[in-house]
Amino acid sequence: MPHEDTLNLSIGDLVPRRRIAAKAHRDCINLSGKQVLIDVSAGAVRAVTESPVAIAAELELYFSCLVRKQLRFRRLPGLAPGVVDYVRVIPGLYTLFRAVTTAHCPIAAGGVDGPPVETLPMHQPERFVPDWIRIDYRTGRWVGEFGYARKGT
Amino acid sequence: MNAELASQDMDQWLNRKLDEVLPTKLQEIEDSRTPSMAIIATKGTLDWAYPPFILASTAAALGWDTSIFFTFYGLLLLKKEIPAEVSPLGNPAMPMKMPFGPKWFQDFNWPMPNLLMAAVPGFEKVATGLMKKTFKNKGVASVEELRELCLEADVKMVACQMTVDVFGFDHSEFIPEVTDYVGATYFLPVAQKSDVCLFI
Repeated sequence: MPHEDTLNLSIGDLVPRRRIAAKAHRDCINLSGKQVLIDVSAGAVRAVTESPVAIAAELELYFSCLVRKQLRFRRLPGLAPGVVDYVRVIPGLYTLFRAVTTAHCPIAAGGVDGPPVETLPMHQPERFVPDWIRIDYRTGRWVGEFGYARKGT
Repeated sequence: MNAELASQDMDQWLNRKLDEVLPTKLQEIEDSRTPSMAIIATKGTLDWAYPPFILASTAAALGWDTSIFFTFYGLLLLKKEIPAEVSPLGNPAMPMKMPFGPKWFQDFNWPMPNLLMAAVPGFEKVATGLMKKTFKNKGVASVEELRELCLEADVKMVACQMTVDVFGFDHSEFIPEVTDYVGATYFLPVAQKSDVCLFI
């Protein structure tokens, strides 16, 4: 998947409860057959509304020496035909889940993307889909977190 | 004589046919086989709690049949609340870094004399907190989450009954998903038949 449209990668960011408490969008979406609770902060809803292109929040479960949870925010200039994996959260905001692994480790790895990743051919992806997602937009940057067990409820 | 010749012809034909068919057939069998992994988890500290769950969840993600046998201190990883902590004492390879503050502060490796680590009450709690915070900052899934992923992905988790007895535990202290309480004689055949067997 091309990463030139990546806006930013959110790693280890927290979305405090107060950010999603008031005027936020809360919904249950179906990701790969699993019901997932999603909270989108008021700031994120506003940012989506003001964005000229759709935004995708890709939940990446990164299998490496450790297992990392990260969200890749991308511009979606247009949904390519055949890309049916995206799930609409609100108009202009889409999400999907995928497991990734390091494609190769360049010596000068780093930057916004880190080492390039590729999709891990997962056996039953629905089993690794998280239970909850939180998406926020603050100080000009997309942030988010997702997790397992019903912490988000 | 004719019968012997016919038998030789038959053998030759059979050998040719086997050479022709067997490699493809064996490859088909190999391709359709599900790989398997058996892990023996023996350690209960926080740093050693990650490897079995990371490897098991990765293998399960790839569709492997995965089993973990928890024995000795590893048994604590099956508790409802994982009590794993990390001890920097006697672990000189462990970097002592702070997960907060400016970058230069976070990058600094704090030299901690053994005497300090041994004498200060609660030092392990602090080290555990710092390690958890560092991992959280880097987006690393927690041990609890990894265990949950493993359970979701049908990783079989079996516990050593003898260790349960020795340490005076009760089955009710462990997560209900523990498949069985067994001994080495149960797990060794599982390990024997697995493609990858790891002792952690």
